[in-house]
Parts: sequence; structure tokens; C-alpha cells
Amino acid sequence: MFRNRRRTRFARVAVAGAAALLAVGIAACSSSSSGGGSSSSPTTAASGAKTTGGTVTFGLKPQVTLSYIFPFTSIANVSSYTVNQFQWLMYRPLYMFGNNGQSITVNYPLSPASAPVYSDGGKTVTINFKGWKWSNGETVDANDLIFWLNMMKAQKANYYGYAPGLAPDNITSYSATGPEQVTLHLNQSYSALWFTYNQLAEFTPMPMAWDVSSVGAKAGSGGCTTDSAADKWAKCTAVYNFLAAQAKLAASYASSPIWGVTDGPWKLSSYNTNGNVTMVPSPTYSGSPKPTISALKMVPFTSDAAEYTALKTGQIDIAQIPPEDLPTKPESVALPTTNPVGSSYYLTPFYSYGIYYMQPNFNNPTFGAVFKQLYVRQALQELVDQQGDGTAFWHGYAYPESGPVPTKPASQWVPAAETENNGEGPYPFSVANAKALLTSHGWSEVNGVMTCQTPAKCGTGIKQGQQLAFSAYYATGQQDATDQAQNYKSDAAQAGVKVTLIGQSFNTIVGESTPCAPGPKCNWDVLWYGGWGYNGPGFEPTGESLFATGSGSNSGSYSDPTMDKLINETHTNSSLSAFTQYATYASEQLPYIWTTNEYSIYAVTNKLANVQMNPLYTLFPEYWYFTK
Amino acid sequence: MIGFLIRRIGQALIVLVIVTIIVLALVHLFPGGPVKALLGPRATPQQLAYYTQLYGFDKPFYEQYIKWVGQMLQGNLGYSDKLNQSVTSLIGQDLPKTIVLVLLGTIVSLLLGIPLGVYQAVRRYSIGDYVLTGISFLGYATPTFFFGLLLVDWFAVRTHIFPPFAPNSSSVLTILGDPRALVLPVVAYAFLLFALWSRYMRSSVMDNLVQDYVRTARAKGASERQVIWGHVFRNSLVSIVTLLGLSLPTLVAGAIFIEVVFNYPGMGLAFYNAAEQVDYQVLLGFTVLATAATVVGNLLADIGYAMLDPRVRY
Repeated sequence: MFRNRRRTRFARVAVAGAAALLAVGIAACSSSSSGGGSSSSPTTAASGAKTTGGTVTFGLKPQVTLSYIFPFTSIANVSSYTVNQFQWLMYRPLYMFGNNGQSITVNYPLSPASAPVYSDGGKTVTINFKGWKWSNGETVDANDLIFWLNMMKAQKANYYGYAPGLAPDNITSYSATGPEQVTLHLNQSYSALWFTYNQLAEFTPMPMAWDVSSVGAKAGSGGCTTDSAADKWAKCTAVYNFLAAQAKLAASYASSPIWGVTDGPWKLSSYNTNGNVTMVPSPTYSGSPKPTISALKMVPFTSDAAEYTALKTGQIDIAQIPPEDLPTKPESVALPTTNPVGSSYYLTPFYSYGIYYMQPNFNNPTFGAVFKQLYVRQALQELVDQQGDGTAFWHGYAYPESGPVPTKPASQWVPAAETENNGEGPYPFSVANAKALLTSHGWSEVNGVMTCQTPAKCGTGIKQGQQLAFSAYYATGQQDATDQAQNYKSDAAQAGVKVTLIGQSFNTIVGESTPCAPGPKCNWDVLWYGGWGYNGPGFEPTGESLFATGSGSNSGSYSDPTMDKLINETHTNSSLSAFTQYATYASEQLPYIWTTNEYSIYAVTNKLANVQMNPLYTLFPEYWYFTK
Repeated sequence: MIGFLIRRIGQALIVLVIVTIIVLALVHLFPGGPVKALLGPRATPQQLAYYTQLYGFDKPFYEQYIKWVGQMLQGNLGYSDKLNQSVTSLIGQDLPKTIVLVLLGTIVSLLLGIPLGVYQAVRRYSIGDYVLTGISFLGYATPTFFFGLLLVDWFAVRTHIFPPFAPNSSSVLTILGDPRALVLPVVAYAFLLFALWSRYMRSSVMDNLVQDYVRTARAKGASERQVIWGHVFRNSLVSIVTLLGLSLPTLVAGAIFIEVVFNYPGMGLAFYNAAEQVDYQVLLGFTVLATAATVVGNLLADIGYAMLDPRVRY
């Protein structure tokens, strides 16, 4: 999923001054709040005896609504929250990822199918189900996966994860080779890692009770499970249209006989279109552990300020603390020494599994040739003061990022290159180095701006007199990101690089982010407005979406045959070293300029134990419990 | 009077047509277009093309406009993919809650503002007048969200007298079922309006007190109470009626800052969220509704004004 730095702008724009004043007031009087004290140990988790029952009130992030229940979700309806924090609680994907902790790997024990078996040199995949049950008594079996695959074939345009050439296009045939076994035949050999993490991860078995085209029809009567291309998938289309129409009846989600058939640990007990969602344990859940709490109530919020007030007044059990309300801390420790919401809560970090960056436009008619020079990109990277930004603007709740793989949490994917120089990677912050790099390639300062003096050394396409001066469109609305941009401009100026910052709304920049062909209209230099989250539908942080030539999210039109080859290698070579090679190359080649990665802090009531926020956004409330 | 009404309704319809054309045109000016705004940065070119066709943005503008207006005339204000809800049902869900908030706030502010405005005019330049003027100016000068946050801090965070939020329900009955939770948002909203009503009322009563008809009434022996409440009060209400008519759009559009601060799930909050998320279907539907409310509000204000002052009709 794409990720942006946007937080609720109201909190930033309208309430900024007031919130500061309010914070002073709250701090002054916090001893009277239900939070019960302003300075407490932030890591004191619940430690009493485990008890069953109790309702957990979970504060959704501001403006998040869990709006769509059908796992075959279109791009118009999708969000990480809707999929990972809503659908997955009720309908387990074929393979679950993450855990009630910091893992970002596949979690077979929590999945309805056993680990896939690859054979025929990676051209055949066999999937065996574990015999879990749906809540209506059906077995989660081969038919349920065939149903999903047929739906993918029939309705590619209506599935958010579809990309031409990838699943299901790369599956030449599939069939149930047993009641609880499905065998896929692929169009070539694929990496077991990549295919599991980025292709099988998209599949969600669907019950036969959904293979219908009218309410109350007999399970399987829709015929999608047995449909084929021969009738142009007409039956699957009819079933999809029916299910999509049912998914639009949001007000009846909790009472729907369709959506009431679940195989996950939770089922809906109430849902309203305002965003309030309550889930209760599904007594028929086949997996383990079974939920201990009696209900999970998810509550929507309008703004950071409102959510913070809810924490301060003890109205919710779990919520993110707004960054502006967190005390400054050293980057070396994960949590602050004082707890801003009081001793009734303990704190836990949330490292969203993603990266942030600036995107240079390699197709810019005047500046593209400059960006194409690796030494220029290296110099631009060396001007990013990630440690300084993290301390000064994110108050210590940040860490350096230096490649395509998020370095937190630690994982098998992180290449050694990204851990160099305390996480700043191969090109750590150094104005002097950046300056030396430029001057050694034929640039020298003229009136304070680096200017190409020796075109032969500057590089192909760079003319004498070309200035190292460009515009960066950055997303406004968040002060820390704005400060970071200003700091970059200041540091760059010291090296003779002139950066003109142009603040625009996040949505305006998104509108401009479509890759453009070389020409006068392709005139933006750098976009700086967000990043990328590897939290589904792909979980291996490969580069096909961001760095492959011609990919839709490669806004800057970066193109490098070696990169394309290495990305392709991650798809076909099951060895982890293939991935490491790609990640190392991307870290060193700088298709984008990497910038500081921030993280969040969640507050959890002391009465509730075993709560951790997974980097993939997935919730595992079946692990949570209240203490006496 | 009928001719006056026909003229004003005709003008109102022309305004509505012009505004709807402009609003739909503005949607096309979203950076990257409305489909990119809807699908976000991850949308592939194939997905953009598919949804452009699906939503009819590949058709000429006039065709889009005719189709859109036709749907609106049938009560279909569009469908929000981001909320997975029709705009009509969203309005049906949120409008009653906003009406509750705005009406209660308006009634409270009127009950306080009008009598105090009259008092200030009658006792002008007294200590009471100065104190109330100071409070009114404070009401004018204090940003609504700031006053709301102070109320939350004082009465919810510190003293726990009132809950900080209204119940977050899709049902207006649930909200009415917890009157304590309505106190803070209503007070915050009323404080803003109280300043407005009291200042206008004070000014209007003072204007009327020096009119000839007041002198005549006094000359005929009317008591001061009869003069104020029997003669001056009605005439002074003209400006308040006009303002009330003009505030009708608020009834529909909601009190954005109040709703955001108090997590109040009304129209203003829905509009704010739609703007943040570029949910253009909601923006279109709400804008048309707010425009209609503004036009109708002006119309009602004109009619009310004409009823109170017959000279306006000609």
C-alpha cells in the first residue's frame, strides 16, 4: 500500500496553537485526570492474573473507517485498515502474515493452509488445507480456493491487487487435486519466497455459501467454483455482482447471512456506517489461540486531538498517541521515559513496515540527465540529515532509512548495506562529501550554486553552465515533514545545491505523481510526499512496483536494466541471496532519495495484557487478555 | 406578494443551475483528475482507465452534467466508494444529528442572546451593558475550536462533569439518549451564536428606540414595557430573522469545527473528512445540498423580511 505522512490536518492546521495551550493545561492538571499522573513508567504492561471476558475499546486512527467487508476488494474500496484490521479478523487469507509482535513473515500456524509445496523447479505449487471449518459447518477446502481463483480470472479489474502479468495471469492452470488440496501450474519457475509472499498472499478462500447469486440460494448454486472461461466466466460475474451489491449494504453487515459465514477468530456483532464496529469471538474458529476477551469495539475518531482526549479521559483502551503529544526522547530508545497519557496506560511502539523517500524525475527534459548520474544522487542522499531530522523534527521517534527494505523491524530482508553507518547506509549525511563528490565530477560553485564546468566529467546530457538547482514539491499540512524539507534545503545550499521548495497539498502531488513521458509537460523535478508500505498484497519488499521500468508507481520513470534484472531474479530465484543482491543494489543505486522513517507510539490500558502492534497493521486480538 | 415570490424562486433556480455546473467542473480540476483522486497513487494505468469509463468521465462534460442532474432529481446524490455508502444515506444518517446540534445551539443562543440584547439596548452604557458587550466580544474573538477544546479540558479531562464526546452512533436517538454528552458541543456552538444575536439585537433595538413610532407610542401613554415588548421588539426582530434565514445552510452543512473537536458525527464532519480524502462524490452531494439550503435560506429570509416589512415586496 502507498503510505503518506499525512496526519489529520485539522490537528495541525486548526488546532495547533490551541492544542499546545491545551497540552500545557492538561499537563498542569493531569493528576486529576483518569490517566492518573503525567509521569509514569511507559513500559509497565499489565501483569496480573489472566482473566476471561471484557470488552476492549480500540481507537481507530483519525478518519479511518472500516468500510468494506468483501475480501475480493476493489481499489476504490481498499485500505490497509479495511483489509488487515477488519476483513482478516473474520476471513483468514490463505496465508496470514505477521504475528502479535514484530514479525513480518508468513505465519503458517495462523493460516488455514499448510506451507505450500513447490515442485517441478518452482513451476508447480501444491497447497494443502488443514481442515478448518467455516462458521456454517463447511470445511475450508480446495473448492474455496478454486472459487477465489475463478473470481480472480473473471474479475481482474475489480480486484485491487491485480497487476497485468502477475496472478492469476501467471497461473496457467489450477485444480483441486484432492478435497483439501489445490495444485497450481505456473507459466515459469518462480521463487518460492516471492510466490508465497507476493502472490499466494493475495488469495483468500471463500465459502461455498458465498457462491450464490441471490440471498437464500443453495450454497454453490452460483456456479463460480465450477465456472470456466468457456462461458466467459458468466457465472462468476453474476456471483461477483451479487456479492459486491451485498457488500454495499453496509448497514446490514452484522446481520447478513452471507457475511456471517466466517473462518477467522472473530465475527461481527454490530456495525454502523459511522465507523463503529464491534466484533465478538467466533465459537467455531478452528485455529489457535481462541479469543479470551469477549468483544473488540473499534471506535472512529475525527482528529488526533479528539483521540488524545479520549485517552486522557480513559474512554478507550488502545489508541495511538498523536506525535505532537509525545515527549522528546533519544533515538536510541524506543519509548519515552515519561508517559503523556498517565499511569493507566503502558506504551508500545508501532513500526509501520514501509519506507519514505523523494522521487527524482528522470524524464524531466532539463534535469533528468542530471538525476541520471549516480554521483549526483549520491550527493543528494548525503545531504539528507536523517539523524538530525529524527531528533529535531520527530523528537526521537524516527530512524534512518537507506534502501528499499524497512530496517525496522529487523528481518531477513534487510541487506547489510542498509545497516551501515548506523542505518544511514552507503551514503551517510555529509555536506563535505557531497560537495567533494560534485566538484570531482566537473562542478564548481558559481554565485553559490554548483554549476557544470566540464561537461565531459559532469556526465552525458549535462551541458556546460547547467546549475544544480531544482524544485521539490513537498506535501504541506504536517509541520515535521515541512521542517525536514526546510532542513534539506538548508543543508543542500551548503553544498551549493539549490533546492526550491514548493509546498502543495498531498492530493495535489498525488495527482502529479503519474509517470510521464519525456517532454515539456513532464516538468516536475522532485516529488516528496510519502512512501511505500509493504503491508499487502505483497509482503516481500521486492521492487516491481516501485523501481521496475514502466511500473505504475515508478513516478520518476527510473529505468535501469540491471535493476530490472535483479527484480526479476527475486521473482524466479528462491535463494534469499537473490533478494539481498537486489536490495543492496537498490540501496546503492538510489532510484529514490531515502528519507527518515518515523514510527508511532500506542497507549494500552494497564488492565490489558499481551498487546503489540504489528508492523503490517494486522491486529491479533485473540492474543489479548484482561488481567485481574 | 405572488409576483415577488415567483421572481425570487426564478432567481434561486438560476443560481442552483450555475452552481451545479461550476461544482461539477471543479471536480474535473482535481490534480490528476477525479479518478486518480479516488483511487490514489497506487492505481495502475489499467485501473485508472477502467474506472474512468465506469464512472463516465470519458464522456463529454454536458453528458456528465445531464446524467448527474438527472440522478440528483431522482434523489441519487452519488455513491461514496471510500465510505461504501450512498451519499443520500450518509446525509440521511448525519443530517438529523447536525440538525439536533445546530437547532439546540441556536435555540440556547437565541434564548440568551435576544433578551440580553434587548437589556443591553435599554440599559445601554450601563455596567451590565459593558460586561455583556465584553462577553460578546469574547465570543466573537474566540475561535470555536479553541473554545471547544477549553470546554473539553475543563469539563471532561479535569473535572469529568461531562463526557468529551457525543455518542458516536449512526442513530440520532442514541445521541439524544445521552443528553449529558450533548452539553459541551451545544454550549460551544451557542456561545459563538450568542455573541452574534445579542450584538445584532442590541443594535437593532437601539435603532428602533429612536424611531417616530416609539415616540408616538409613548405619547399615547404606552408603558415602557409595552413600548419595548409590544412595539420595538417585533420590529427589531427583522435583522434576527434575516440572520436566521442565512444560517439555514449551517443546519445542513454542519458546524465543522464543533463536530471535529467533539467527535460529533454530523454533516460538517462528514464534509471535512470527504475533503481530506478527496471523496468527490460526497463533496458534490454535500455542496449541492448546502447550495440548495443557502438559496432556500435566502428565500425564506426574504419572505420573512417581506412579511415583517411590507415595503420590501415592491
